[in-house]
Amino acid sequence: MNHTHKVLIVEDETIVALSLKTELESYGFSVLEPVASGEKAIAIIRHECPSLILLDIRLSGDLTGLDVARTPMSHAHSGLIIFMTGYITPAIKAEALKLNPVAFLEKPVDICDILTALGH
Amino acid sequence: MRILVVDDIKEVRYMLEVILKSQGYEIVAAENGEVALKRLKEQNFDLIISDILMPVMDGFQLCKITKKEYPHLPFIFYSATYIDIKDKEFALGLGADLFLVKPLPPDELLSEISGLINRIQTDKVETKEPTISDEKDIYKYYSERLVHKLETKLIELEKEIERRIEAEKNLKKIIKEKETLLQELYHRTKNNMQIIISMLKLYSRKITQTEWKAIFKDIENKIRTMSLVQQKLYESNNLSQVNLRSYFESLLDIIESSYLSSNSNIHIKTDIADFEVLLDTAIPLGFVANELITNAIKHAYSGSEGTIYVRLWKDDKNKIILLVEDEGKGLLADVDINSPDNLGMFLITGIVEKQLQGKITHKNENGLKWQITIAQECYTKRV
Repeated sequence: MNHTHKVLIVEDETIVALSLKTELESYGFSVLEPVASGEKAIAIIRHECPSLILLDIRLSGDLTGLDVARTPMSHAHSGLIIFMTGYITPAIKAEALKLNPVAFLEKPVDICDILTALGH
Repeated sequence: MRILVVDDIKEVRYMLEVILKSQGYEIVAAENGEVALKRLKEQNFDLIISDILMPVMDGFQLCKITKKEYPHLPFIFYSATYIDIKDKEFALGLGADLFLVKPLPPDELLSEISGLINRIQTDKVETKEPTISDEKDIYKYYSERLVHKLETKLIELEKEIERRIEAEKNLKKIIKEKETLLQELYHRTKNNMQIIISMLKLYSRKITQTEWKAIFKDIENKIRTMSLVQQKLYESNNLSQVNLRSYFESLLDIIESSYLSSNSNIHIKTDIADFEVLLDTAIPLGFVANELITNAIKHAYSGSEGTIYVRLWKDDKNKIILLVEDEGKGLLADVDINSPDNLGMFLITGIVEKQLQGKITHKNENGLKWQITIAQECYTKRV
């Protein structure tokens, strides 16, 4: 499979992030070094302009994944967002859906769910 | 010696009756002033012991009437509610012989009563007469006393309401904390399951043997099945019961996405009844179904086209029946499903027979047909 997506994984659990990175790479995605905090995510997004962001909602640091998605990005950036979280309340889900993600996935997330969300 | 006890609280009447009867007094009880007046008309009494605040007719009114109609009948007030010195003055002014404040130890109460009786019977002391005789004065004092009592009661009630509002606030806070805690636990459980799955995936990539890879995939699949139960519990807002139809539908989605590619020629047909079971039944039942269905996917058709049927329902004896059937090649002669070497089958037989106290049977004709029968619930509801 050949994918043009440049992916950023924003996930505070290193093992989860690493496993997703390895799997996505095996499917041909180009995956940036995962980040664990919202602050770092915003910096990387501005620099690297990933075309796909896998965004956990609970992160280390002060910002949540929702805050990251709300931050005005550089105009060149129009990356797709997939939320993935175990922390689901109706309020959080509603808030996340307002930010027009490609998908809102519940943990445990499977690579198949991500591929399906991207239409593969 | 016959005493009329007047009090609106049943327990107080009962207590006075017990104490006084133990001393040989004959007791008649009334729950308010009006009933007391009726009893007075029916028979003679030697003494009245009365509370003050009572519905229909209070103790002050009763005292005023009895002192007029039965001037030689001694009258004792025995009251606790919102007493102050002016109540005592007014009560004695109405002609009461004694004003006692509840609660008195039984000995003291008895000694006060017998003292009064002795003074009247032995010393021939007259019972008291009303000192407030002017009707206007009586009503003035009476209204004052009553308003005072009601005001005190109102203040007491307001304090009680405040206490309850505070208690309600605390309860709401505790409930909120528990909800947050539950949310946190749920989140952490799902997160941990994701971490375990991620570890399995990472290690699995290091393995080259296909057989080991398949084992890792099976374990991952079973963790997903358990995680699914958590999700269903959370969605149902019920901490102990899971809807089996919804659970099995999602379970089959997981199995299909894990083991069947989009161009697979194996189809799964389901007929799942809509009912709920306890978590303790749902998890092992899901584990068993998962094992039987994935076995059928892996072994029944060897790449050729075929259908797997999954049926789940409750029979008229409330037993849960799960059928997993295929029309494939069936069990090969050299496979011993009871051998501990066959780990998957060994585990599900144990789960069905020991954990769920059910029965597992199979037929090996025109494919392999499994039937699991379990009692509705082997556990009691916890929440």
